[in-house]
Amino acid sequence: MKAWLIPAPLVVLLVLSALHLTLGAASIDLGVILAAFTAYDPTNYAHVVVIFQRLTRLAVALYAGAALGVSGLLLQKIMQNGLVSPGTLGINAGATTFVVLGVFLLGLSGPGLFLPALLGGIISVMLTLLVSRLLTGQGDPKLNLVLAGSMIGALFSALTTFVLSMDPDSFGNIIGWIVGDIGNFDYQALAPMAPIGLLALIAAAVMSRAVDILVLGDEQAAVMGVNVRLVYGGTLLVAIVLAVSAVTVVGPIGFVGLVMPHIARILVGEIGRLPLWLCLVGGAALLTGADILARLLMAPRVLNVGTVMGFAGGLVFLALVIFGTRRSER
Amino acid sequence: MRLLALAAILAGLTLSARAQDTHTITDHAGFAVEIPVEPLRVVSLHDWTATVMTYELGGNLVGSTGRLNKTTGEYFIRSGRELYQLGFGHGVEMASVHGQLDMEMIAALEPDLIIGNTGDTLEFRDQLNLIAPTMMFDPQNGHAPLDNYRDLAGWVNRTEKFDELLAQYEARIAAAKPIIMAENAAPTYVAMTPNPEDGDIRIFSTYGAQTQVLEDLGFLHGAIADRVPDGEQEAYFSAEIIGELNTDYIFSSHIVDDGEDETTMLKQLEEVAPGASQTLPSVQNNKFISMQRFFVYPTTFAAMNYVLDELEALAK
Repeated sequence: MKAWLIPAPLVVLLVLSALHLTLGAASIDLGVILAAFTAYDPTNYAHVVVIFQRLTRLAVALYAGAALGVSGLLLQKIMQNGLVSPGTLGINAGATTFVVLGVFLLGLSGPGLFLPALLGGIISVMLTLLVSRLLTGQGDPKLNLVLAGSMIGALFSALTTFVLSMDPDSFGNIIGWIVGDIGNFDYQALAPMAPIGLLALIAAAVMSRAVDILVLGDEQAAVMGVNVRLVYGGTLLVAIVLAVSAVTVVGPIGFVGLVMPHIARILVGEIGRLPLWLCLVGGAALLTGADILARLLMAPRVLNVGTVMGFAGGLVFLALVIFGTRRSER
Repeated sequence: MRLLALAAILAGLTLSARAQDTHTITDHAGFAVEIPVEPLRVVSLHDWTATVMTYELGGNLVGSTGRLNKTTGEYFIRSGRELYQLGFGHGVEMASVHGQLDMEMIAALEPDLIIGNTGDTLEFRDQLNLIAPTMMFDPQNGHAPLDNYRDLAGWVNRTEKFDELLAQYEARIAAAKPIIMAENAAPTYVAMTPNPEDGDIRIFSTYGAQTQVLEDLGFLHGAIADRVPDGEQEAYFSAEIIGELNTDYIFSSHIVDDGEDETTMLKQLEEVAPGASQTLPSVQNNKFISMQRFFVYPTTFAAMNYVLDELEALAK
């Protein structure tokens, strides 16, 4: 095992976190930033910026990135498909649709949106698997799964657009969330989501060995005493809960769950707990980096993190595909 | 007698021919459009800009888009309701719900001129053009708001009325200046609204009648407004730069229908930027002023008179 891969991502994450707290639309001296932590003065607006605008955004970026990274790894492992992620399976789109419906029909807000989002995530995955099964025998099953996910995602996106068009004025404030964004108040939604996510992360770590065995194939896993259905279903649920808890806070941010498992696989393969660790820390680092860019590229304007992540994540994924192709040619 | 009848018929024919006279005008989206010199059936597809402007000038408005009042279940014309008590019926019919164009409803009104809005209806221009000549109005094209209003006045053949109202407004500005500017000849201001949903602030380089009147009176906008990109009316800025709102005044706007008032806007500012109330000079000096949004967004003369009324009341 490459031992350095345990502390190295943590160091990267710490450096990015420090940059996140240091850089922003307002120029704040390092001493003032440190003082905001050691001697917080609510009448000093620079302290307010550090604690209530930068630190809170950082916490949200860390959580959402970690949750999406681990969710993507779990999905790719149990489905043995490097193209699946919360985005490509339609989970993000399904959760978004049900959140919009929850707002429109029931007037829900805040943590109350988690349950409809979870329902949307579960329904979208079930529909994706169903459609994928209908395509059995036609073409590559791995591509069929992603194709089915894209179809279901497109259907849910259309439904979201339809609901939004019913009363555009009342949805004006959540357009940023629908694109996928980190807002200064998202930490309020994070508070109730974090314990759920933490439990899901513990469950992912606990099930890690069983999931590794599942990778060997259903029959082999059954021979080795693994309850295939239970592990598959449990892991799928954990992955959905992680993705949906992130979507509830920041909206449907793509690419983290798609890209991080590939990076982990290149560095350490996919067996054991180390890939899980890399996706946890790496996902957090990826989204933190994207948020730094979102806050700096056009400062004092703040770009949507989802847009930045989509652009940067797309480029990274393309690079990974090219890298993977060249490596397999050798 | 026969000669008189013939003269009457010829006069009628001449009038009819005149009513169908057309000229070609370039709209705000850059399209050269052939429209009637005197449009007799104008349909506006944006209530709180083109509709209220056409109505104020006495244009031949027969239809407008409207919005749903969720409390009453009735449709209303934003800013038309507030500034002119203008509603549907009595000659102005609903052309569509705002944001959901209904081509059949628009066609049923038999317009001879449609006025769309680049922000909402540009993508439907080709379809609209099949119904009637369609001009695109762009209140956020970076031009002076009153220049845009004058353009629209020309489209509906009411330039004379526009000039008459403009002269009255300029006279009122001259009279109000000594009252409103008694304390400070060139106070600074920022026009903004807090965005409590995402925790940022919305800075306006122009905001309809509100900023038009302020600029005409001699208020100077704060440097932060210059950081709004050219040609855009507004930009969302990080709340980190709240310290740059250190102007003499902050002007905001609120929506009464949503239960908002000036206190609400101050509370939202404090939510977005905790501690701002204690650091911003305008808030400390009671010069954080919020006006009713639907009264101050259109750059119509009624809206500008409302802003002047509010400022004069504050000065007293």
